[in-house]
Amino acid sequence: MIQSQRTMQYVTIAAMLTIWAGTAATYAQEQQPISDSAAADGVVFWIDPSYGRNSVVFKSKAPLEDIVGKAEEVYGSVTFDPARPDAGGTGEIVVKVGNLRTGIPKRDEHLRSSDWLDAEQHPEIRLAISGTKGVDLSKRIDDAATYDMTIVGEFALYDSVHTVEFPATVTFMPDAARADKKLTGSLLAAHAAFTLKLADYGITGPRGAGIIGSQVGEEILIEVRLFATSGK
Amino acid sequence: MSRGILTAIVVTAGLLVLWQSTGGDYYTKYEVIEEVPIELEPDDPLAAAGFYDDNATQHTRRDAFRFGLLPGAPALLDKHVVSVVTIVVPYWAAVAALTLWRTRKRHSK
Repeated sequence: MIQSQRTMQYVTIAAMLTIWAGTAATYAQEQQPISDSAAADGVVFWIDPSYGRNSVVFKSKAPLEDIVGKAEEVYGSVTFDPARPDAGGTGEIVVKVGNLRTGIPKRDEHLRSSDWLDAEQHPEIRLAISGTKGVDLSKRIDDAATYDMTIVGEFALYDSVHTVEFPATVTFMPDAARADKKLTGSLLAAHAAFTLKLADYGITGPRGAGIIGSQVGEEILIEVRLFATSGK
Repeated sequence: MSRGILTAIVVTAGLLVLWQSTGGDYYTKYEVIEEVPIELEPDDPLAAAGFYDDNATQHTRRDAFRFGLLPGAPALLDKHVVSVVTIVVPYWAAVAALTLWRTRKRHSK
């Protein structure tokens, strides 16, 4: 009972995650909320691109090769309303295609080329979070609350946008509860993973080369771990 | 067996050992992205909150040499061109050509 009251008292979550690509270099500098309406729904939490523990990783498994890559920086913001835990959340997470690294510079070049993600035409990969479902308090330790939930959003990659839903774990920690101050303000931390099919987004690789399915997996696993703070 | 072929076998075996000992990757690399445990500090509030309970690893990119089976780049002047295949194949071709040339020379005498 006490626990449920505290649950209502505190947060609920909204928002997170994900991925990728691109080049729209102005996002981090502008550091503006996604929209006024989103900011009005709750507290805005910012992802600090320079925070080293932020991680967006993509994994491809194929008969000839397994590839693991990561985004060097992640940008974005999410909102949530502590007073309405079930209200969901909104936000946007952006990765620049030009920041993707696989460990082989030549392969990174190919990834950015028009045969693959076409960084010139589609410089960013975006997840626009539209809400959450099934928010469930899984753990509470002192003032920190961890929730399991399903995140719903529109994932934009290459020249397509698709609705995605994937499970996530989100921890909220109010500022007063945090002993370390490497990040200022209250903290929202999330990790999640989901799979996308390259064909769904129109990504084919070089025509006729047959790379997808042999050297590159038809499906890509994306793993995300992000930290966002209400301080600037 | 000629000394050239013996040398080629030793070189090939050595390169295969080097390939395996540096990770056995398909392609030659000078940096790797690998999953490593997160070094949690004792006062990390997220650790105390259980955020890392399910997965306490992260992916990092660091400089490290991986001698590949295949070259990491097709360009001759690129450092990624060194690999088992790009050394062994020309080496064996040279040994085969030399052996053939010597054999023909011997028969022509």
